[in-house]
Amino acid sequence: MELTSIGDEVKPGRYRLHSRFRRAVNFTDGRRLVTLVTPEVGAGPLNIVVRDLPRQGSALRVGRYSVSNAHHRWAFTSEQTYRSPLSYSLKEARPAFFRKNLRVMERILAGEAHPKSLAFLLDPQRTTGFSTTLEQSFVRRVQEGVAKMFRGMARGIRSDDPGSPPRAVAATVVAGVRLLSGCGFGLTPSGDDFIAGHLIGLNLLQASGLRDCRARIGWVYHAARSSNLLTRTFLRLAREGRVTGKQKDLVETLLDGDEERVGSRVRDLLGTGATSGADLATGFVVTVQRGISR
Amino acid sequence: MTIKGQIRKGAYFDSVTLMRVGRELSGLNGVSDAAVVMGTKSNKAILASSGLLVDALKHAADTDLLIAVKADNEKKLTSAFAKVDEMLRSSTRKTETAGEDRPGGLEDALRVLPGANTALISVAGRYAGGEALKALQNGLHVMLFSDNVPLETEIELKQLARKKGLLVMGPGAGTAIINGVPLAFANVVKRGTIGVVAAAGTGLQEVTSIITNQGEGISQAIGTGGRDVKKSVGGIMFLEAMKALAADPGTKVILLVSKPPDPPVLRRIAAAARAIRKPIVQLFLGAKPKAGQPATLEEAAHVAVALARGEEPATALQRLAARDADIAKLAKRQAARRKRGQRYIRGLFSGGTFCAEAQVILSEMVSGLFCNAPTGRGRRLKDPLKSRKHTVLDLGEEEFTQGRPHPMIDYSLRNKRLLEEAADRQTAVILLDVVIGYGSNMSPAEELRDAVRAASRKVCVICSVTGTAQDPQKAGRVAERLKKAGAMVMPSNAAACKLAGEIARDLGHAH
Repeated sequence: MELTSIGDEVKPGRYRLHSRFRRAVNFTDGRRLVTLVTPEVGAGPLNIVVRDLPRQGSALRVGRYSVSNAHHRWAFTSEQTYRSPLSYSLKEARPAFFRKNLRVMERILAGEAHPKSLAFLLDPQRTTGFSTTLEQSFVRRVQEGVAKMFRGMARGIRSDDPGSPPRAVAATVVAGVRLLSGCGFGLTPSGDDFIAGHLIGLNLLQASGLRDCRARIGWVYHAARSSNLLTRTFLRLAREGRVTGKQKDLVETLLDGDEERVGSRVRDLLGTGATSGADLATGFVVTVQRGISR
Repeated sequence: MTIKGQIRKGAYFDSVTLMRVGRELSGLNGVSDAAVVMGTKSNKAILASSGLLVDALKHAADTDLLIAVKADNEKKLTSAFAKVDEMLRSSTRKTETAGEDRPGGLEDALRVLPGANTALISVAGRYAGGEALKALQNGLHVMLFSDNVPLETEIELKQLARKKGLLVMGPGAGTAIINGVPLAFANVVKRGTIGVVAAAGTGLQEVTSIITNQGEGISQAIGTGGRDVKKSVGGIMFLEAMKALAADPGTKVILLVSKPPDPPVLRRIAAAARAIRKPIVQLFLGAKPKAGQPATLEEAAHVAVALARGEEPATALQRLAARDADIAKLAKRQAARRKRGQRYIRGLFSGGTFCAEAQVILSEMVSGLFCNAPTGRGRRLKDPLKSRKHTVLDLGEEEFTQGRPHPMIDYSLRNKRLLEEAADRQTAVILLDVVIGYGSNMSPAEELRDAVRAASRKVCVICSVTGTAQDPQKAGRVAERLKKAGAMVMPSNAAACKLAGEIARDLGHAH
């Protein structure tokens, strides 16, 4: 049973079974999460990628160079560690090229994302897919939340001063995040995935030196806190700019890839969960579009 | 109206399951609204604004699963919650308990099932060749469902298989029926005396279904993968399958289905056919057939049936020609209902073979035909997201399927495109293939219903249903429900395409 990669946020310790899915098995030590995943899911900060998921075992032990349960042991070397920080900068891209690729990404999301995903934020026609009273309430809440989250952004992000963020901007952003946080369908609600994408986008803008987003990242993260371990974990990682292999590939391709490669990477991401990949991608693309617009 | 809510504590289900359960719940008869969501503050607020936040749900925690249903009466509520329990239980069984005894690899599997003679392999392409090789070395036939297997690997596997007297079906073989057992995407068919060799997955499904629906049956249906009949592979498995059917006492008629093989392979197939003493029906889609030979999958199936009954093939072809005359009359009536400016056909196919057959048929009837997977006279569509003139799309191609389930399983992309095409003022006809059977979407009519209904208010929606009455979805029921939604349902893909072509011709854009 081969181990192909282990995330750099996986800490040694003893973990017990949290939840089991077809392509992923989550373990927790009470505070932290690690996940055994198949190659289709791929590398991530807390992912241990194994060729075959073990069907047995309710405990996992992570050592310095091995991972084991009662039935299997996977050894690994430091070369197999997946480095999760998003280390790209928009300065590496030609602006017109990057904008074009972002538009390709938007178009694919609007055309191909799951009908119940947040891609309606990119193409309002998609709201016709939300027909029940509940679904329409969901759409209105998301639209209101996003409007508040980003209305603050246009002003605040240019004048962000980590020392003294404008109260009104912070309050608007926090109100918007609270509308989105925990909102929607799926095990990790759509709103949380969108917020994660937003945080990753902010980290990219920050790393590129285009905007000082440190304060904003803090407001968003603290407003979005959840008692759901899965949500809490991926939001923390997004706040720190730690991304999965698929997300990293996507950003890399946006910076220097052609349309076909961008399409391929976006579609890879769309395969995450039912709408999780699409919601995260929507959060990312909306954030970066607004961040680079003048 | 009655509303009920339940909390499931500590229940972790993946998003795909939750959304499927929510969707099916909302679609139940008598249910007007439903929610299957995590118990976060935001979701409770949404439930409240929709009138679904009953007292039982108010104290749910973030990690609780909430189920809320609004239905006509108590009986419908009880039935809805029973359905939820069943769906969630079935999902748990699949991911947890069923997996506990699953063998870890081929060797384990052979210990559990020492009498197995076939391995069905569906892993990522870069690993599939290795697994197939192991299976052959252990004396097993192989069905290679996996795609993206390198060409050299395919050739190596098939040469080894030929040496060992084994079959390798695939790569990319989605369909086979061996000794009456449907493998992967396949239909429940009658057992009988017609053996099929197909380098075309949905082609195999179409002919085996039509043969069953006509009252005859299938001895074996062997899929070889589309690349087998190319020069590089040389038709290795196509020829081995022909040999196997020639030697099979249960097979009296052999039916060959493929896109046109490369010329050297075609010559080998012709030579092999001459040496077989059983009647052989050949359908190479897109190749010009000889007089009296079938030109479509439907014709090939009917000819095979005629031969199995000891009848003249010409009789079968004449019956279909008479049927086509009726199609022309039907087309006139449909064309008269179109608005000014409506003139184009838009085909949205989940089966690649059906898309190819559509191009073959429509190229003879209309001009300006575009496709994302062109064959014959079809021209390449530059942007698969934007139709042009007459357009037929293979939604199973990579640009549509990367990162998402195959369109035979997940209709969401096709439904979206259906509505977009119907909204285009120049669209007159939309063609849809609905392929049922094992592996396909279990509620095809329900999932297509809303989009078909909306589209058929503006355009003529023509469907074909590939499958049998014994399939889990039941072909007759699917057809009825599609008709109720406003679609015209034809008995085959070929008939559907001919109707579409006649309508387009009548609308004044003949070839």
